[in-house]
Amino acid sequence: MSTKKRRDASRSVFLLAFGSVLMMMAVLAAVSFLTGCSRTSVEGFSIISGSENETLEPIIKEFADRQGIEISIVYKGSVDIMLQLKDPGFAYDAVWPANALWVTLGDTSRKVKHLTSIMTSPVAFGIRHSTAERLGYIGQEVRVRDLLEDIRSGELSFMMTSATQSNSGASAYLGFLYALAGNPDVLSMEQLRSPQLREEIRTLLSGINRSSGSSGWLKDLFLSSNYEAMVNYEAVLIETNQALIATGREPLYLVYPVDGTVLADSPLGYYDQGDADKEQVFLDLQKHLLSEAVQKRIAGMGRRTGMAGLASAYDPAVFRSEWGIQPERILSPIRMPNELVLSEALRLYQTDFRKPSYTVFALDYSGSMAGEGAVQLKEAMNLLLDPERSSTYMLQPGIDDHIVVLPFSNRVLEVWDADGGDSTQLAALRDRIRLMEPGGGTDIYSPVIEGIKRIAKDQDHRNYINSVILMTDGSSNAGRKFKDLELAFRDLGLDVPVFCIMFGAASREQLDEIVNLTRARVFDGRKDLVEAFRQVRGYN
Amino acid sequence: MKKKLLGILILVAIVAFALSFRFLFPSSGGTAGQPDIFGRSTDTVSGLIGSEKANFLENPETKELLRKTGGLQVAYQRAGSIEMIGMDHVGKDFLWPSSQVSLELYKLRGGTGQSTIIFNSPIVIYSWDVVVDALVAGGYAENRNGVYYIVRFRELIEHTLDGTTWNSIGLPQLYGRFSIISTDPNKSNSGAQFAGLLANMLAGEVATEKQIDTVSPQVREFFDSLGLMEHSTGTLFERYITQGVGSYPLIVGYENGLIEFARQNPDIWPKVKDRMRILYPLPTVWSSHPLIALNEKGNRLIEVLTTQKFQELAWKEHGFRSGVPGTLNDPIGLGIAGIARDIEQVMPMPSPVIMEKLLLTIAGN
Repeated sequence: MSTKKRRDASRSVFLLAFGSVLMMMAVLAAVSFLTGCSRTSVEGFSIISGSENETLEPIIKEFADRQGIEISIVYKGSVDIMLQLKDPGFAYDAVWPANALWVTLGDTSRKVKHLTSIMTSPVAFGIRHSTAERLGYIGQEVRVRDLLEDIRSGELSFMMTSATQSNSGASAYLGFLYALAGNPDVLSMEQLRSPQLREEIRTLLSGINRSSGSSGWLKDLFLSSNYEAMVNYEAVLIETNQALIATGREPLYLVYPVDGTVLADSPLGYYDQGDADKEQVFLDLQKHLLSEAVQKRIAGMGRRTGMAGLASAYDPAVFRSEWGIQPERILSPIRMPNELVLSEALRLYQTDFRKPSYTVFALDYSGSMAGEGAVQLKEAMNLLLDPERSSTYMLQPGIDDHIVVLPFSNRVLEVWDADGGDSTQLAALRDRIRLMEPGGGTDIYSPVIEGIKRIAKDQDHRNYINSVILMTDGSSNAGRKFKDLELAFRDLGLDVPVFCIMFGAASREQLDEIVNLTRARVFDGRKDLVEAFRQVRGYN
Repeated sequence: MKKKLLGILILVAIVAFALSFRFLFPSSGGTAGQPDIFGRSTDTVSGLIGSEKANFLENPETKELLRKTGGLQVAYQRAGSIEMIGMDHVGKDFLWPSSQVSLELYKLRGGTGQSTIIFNSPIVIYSWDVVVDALVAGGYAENRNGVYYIVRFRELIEHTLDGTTWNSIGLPQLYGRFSIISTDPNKSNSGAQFAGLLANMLAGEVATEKQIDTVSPQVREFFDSLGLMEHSTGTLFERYITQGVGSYPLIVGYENGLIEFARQNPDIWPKVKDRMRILYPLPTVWSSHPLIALNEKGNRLIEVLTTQKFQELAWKEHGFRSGVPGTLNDPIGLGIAGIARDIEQVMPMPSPVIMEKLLLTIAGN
């Protein structure tokens, strides 16, 4: 063999070997790329959470960014979280309600694991300092009965979320029941059915002037006007005070009724669907939230952190003693009743104990609603007005509720009404709504003006939680204008919120004007109208 | 020359391949069904377990040791200890409940196969410094060489039923009536064991057929007074740790819960260890962890788990006392205060038939 040939051969062997190494490396690179080089292959991770955790979202987002994953958070009320947990098609990777109670009740298939409290916050009354002073609450041990007496004599009214929709409302309500029943170990069916308890809890709840389905929104409502008191988490009341002080207003004094304390423990749990990578993401997130640095940051946001129920490192500038906050004091919360008693207590709240609501539904039957719009509208109203169906969502009409329905197009077409406790009237109302067909133009202002006028003249408005619910799919193009509504609203001088449900091509601008005027909220029904109706019903 | 070159290149390629293989698929103690790096395959052994053992089986050391010493890998599903006996056992090699009652039920229903108690853990009461100090001052509990025992257990149980307040126990800072919080006996094994222990205490001996009708209404009254109960021992323990003495002055748990918690939460442990207290009731009951082998693979698992190495690991990292006679469980090496060297005065649980009756009564039937 010549030298050249040998050289050629050796070169070709070299090239061949080198080529195969390169190829192998390329294959490996491709495999590596396809399987994802980062530690986790998880791209998206979703959490369903109570609204009070919204303040902590930046902490979660920072973690997500560092890990290179997308974490989405959907905020829902506690009852919604419980109902979703019961559903086998649960669509989230983690759950973060205000209280472990909702997981115990909802997680019947026992899919939730690693459930660990991230922080705690007791539910308290936040009362304008001067009012608390006048009522003699400053520095005193206050019992539920002290509050009851001041409510009875008209000295105190307060805002509270719905006990059947939101954990802060449910906690306060259960605390009231325990105190009024004479502080039993746990509440029993017999106690719940006592006539005296009924009378007292109804009186207590009659002190509510505005309600909502969300603790976070209640705070915004409180700040938007000049209210006197609000039941909420200590953490949210601290946030409220910070905002009040920033705008030069009087802060709230926090009253923790000693005989009806309930704690929110904000447990974060993983919903196990057998994805080990997601579970790892969850565990990393949980560890991050419980790390010393993050716990300190959370404590700075007015949440109680630290183990053994002791606020280990609280900042006196956040947990201010002049606001009535004593983080070092041992809190002895009530013990939750068993499932049967609990469900009955919530049912009684919805149907009998809560302050009755007077609700005017202004429903758009203009021509553009024809087809899918009308179908969804009718389905939504059928759900809300059918006590059996609405009880699934704990939204059934109460026995003293009153419901007015104003179908409209370019004018108010009809005026229908029904008493919440009359099943025949409710059935007739459902039929009317079902049989009406859409047609004509749109005037959203006339039915709203008609609605608030009815609230003013039909009844003693102080005995009800009043509201108008306007549902529309178009912009107002006929009849009255926003100015007319503004005039009428200011003229009547009542605190009647006009909640708006947006559908189809509704004008967000027009609806925003209305909710800003009346201190209410717009619900987006474009994706799911029935869901939007359900949400808004939790606010009244 | 070219042969040498070729050889070197092939060698480089193999090393590169092996390295990148390791890089791509890092070994985490053997992935399901995959051969280890030397080509030996591991056998997967499947079964149902009481959730108390999940942390032990998830421990990387356990996985590694199982693979190395037994060529095994465990695939498990959690299930209630009683529930698992009645479940479908197709494709399963073993059952590993958390109570002796489950094993007896299994045998009652005609189940055969080898069974061995792998671990034990006594039912204990967890509490806090201030509460235990008050119990000691009241003569209900005693500190014997650094270990707390409830010496007047029956009286304490009676106090949960007779309306005694925390105030009269010497704890005015706690609101309401004296109580011991347990998990739901119909959902969780520690709750069921505690129900059995209560029945025994109220009967004055291991509750018999004759006595159960008298004592079970009282046991039911006890659990009724707890209201909504947790479904899992771990969740109750977690809430006790985070919420503290105000919400959870006394809770029922397994002894191993504390040791496992201390090992797995090195950041939290130092913050709570001086306040937390473990109380051993006199008498108590064992939560036994018998492994029931359904076939030969199950037998192999028993063989491996009863070896010294596993027993040591389970004690040191997870607080399980050995089920193998003659094995010492020395608390000194643990570095956790208040753990008893030996468990004295252990009562047997009532029989499965009695337990079934008791649990039905508690459920309200």
